[in-house]
Amino acid sequence: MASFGNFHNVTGAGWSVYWKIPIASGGGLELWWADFQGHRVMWRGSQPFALVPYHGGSPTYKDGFDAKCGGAAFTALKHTAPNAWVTDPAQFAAVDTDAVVVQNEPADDFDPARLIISAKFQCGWYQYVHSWEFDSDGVITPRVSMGGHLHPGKPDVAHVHHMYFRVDLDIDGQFPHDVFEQFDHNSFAQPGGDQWTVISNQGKLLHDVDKARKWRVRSSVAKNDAGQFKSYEVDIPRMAGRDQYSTGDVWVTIYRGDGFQQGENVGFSCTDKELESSYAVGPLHPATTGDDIVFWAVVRHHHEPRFKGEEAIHLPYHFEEFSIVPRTFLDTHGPAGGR
Amino acid sequence: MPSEMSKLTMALGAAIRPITDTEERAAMEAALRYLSNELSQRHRVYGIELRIPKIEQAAATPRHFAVVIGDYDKRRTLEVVVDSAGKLVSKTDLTGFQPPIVNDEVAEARKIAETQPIIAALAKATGGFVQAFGPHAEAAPGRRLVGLRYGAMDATGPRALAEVEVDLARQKLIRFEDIEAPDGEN
Repeated sequence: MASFGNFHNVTGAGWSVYWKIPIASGGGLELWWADFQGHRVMWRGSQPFALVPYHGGSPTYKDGFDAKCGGAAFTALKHTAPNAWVTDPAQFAAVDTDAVVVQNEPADDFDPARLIISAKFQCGWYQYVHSWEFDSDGVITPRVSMGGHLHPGKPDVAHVHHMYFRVDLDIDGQFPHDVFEQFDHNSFAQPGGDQWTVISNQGKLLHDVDKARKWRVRSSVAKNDAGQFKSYEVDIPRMAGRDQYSTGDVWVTIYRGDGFQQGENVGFSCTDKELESSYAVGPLHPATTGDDIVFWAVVRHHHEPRFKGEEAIHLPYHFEEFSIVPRTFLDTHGPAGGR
Repeated sequence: MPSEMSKLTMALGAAIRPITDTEERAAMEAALRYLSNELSQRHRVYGIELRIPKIEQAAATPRHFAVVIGDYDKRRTLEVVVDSAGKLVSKTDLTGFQPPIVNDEVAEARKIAETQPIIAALAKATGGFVQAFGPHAEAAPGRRLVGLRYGAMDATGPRALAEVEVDLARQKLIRFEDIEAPDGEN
């Protein structure tokens, strides 16, 4: 049996999920076939690459899958490896199960139960932690943290981590019959102040915090007991903005297979332009069949190093995240953790 | 099966069991057979993975195997997918995509780089280590470029000493940069 690349099933908080660390990827942890309460939500999710431009114009690393621009692949560490610039081969995972930690957190007075799947990866002097939380309210929270060590030659130079997630939701398993929609809070008019707009072409989409912008993948066939089309929303908090390297916030595209358009051949110019020019290209079919929607989303962090203080020795893990939230997916909603 | 699991996932059944050594070898041989007229002598199989196609539930889930192959001389990266009988399912040209640099490639690149005395000396530094990275590729997307960061441990931890880039297609050292830590670092 291969030491990497196998599917491992875990359950908890109402979820069944498979995880995998591919053997020839460098793109980190992948989550497959995430089902909530017996219903398919996600075919596959991952955070395969990051763009990390530094002040001063160089470097502008592409880390992870198809590393370029001086960046490095995500290499699985033993989960017990220290938060440091790890160079000792004994700290690297020999098999995928050395890397992954699965936690089942029970519900408490404030939070729902959670199934958490995490692994840490060395990437040059940096570390990235991929951690996906699946809670008993049906919410998926993909998280990524940055740790390890500051750039050894530029410890004082600020930079931005643009972390790219690829998510293939299959609402209730009814592919290829999903549509992609964008929400805007335009005014306080009632009714009509808020609006959902159907996206009719693949392409790059921009966040607008002033409009409480969010997105959703909605089935065009699967309905809940109330007759509403099932959907999952995509909520992306913003801690940093776009720039000339990371030019969008969400790209809506379609499933073209699992061996293609996973982040390869993005970043030749150390930017994300290929997501727009070669991935998210072509029409969508919201008025007829729907599509097998795949979206890319970026979470960001501008890192002003505390290089003479708290981050001089190592970088305390800093997590950023976004949420994939059910809307009309469930028939009823009982007490947190109680369903 | 847990009740959380959907019928769709249950239907994947045994198709998602781990790949065996026998399957791995058969998939690799089949892929190389399909590419026998296309590959140069200098090629490498980077990995073989189970690939589960997304299909309608009515059909039984097939078990496919994806084989990623790089050709140094022809500067191509290909993915060949075969089924469990070794029959070709798809062939995708991924040229430009650089799979993670494997240990054999690091060793080969080091052998080329360390013919230079200054780099050989770095390799012998006390507490020395070498880590791979992916160089800039815009001008030559098909070339197999291997970046090597030479470093060493000192009292405060690891530090970078130099960066090297080797073109494995041309078997040539193409960049060497000495790295100096700025004054007053940390």
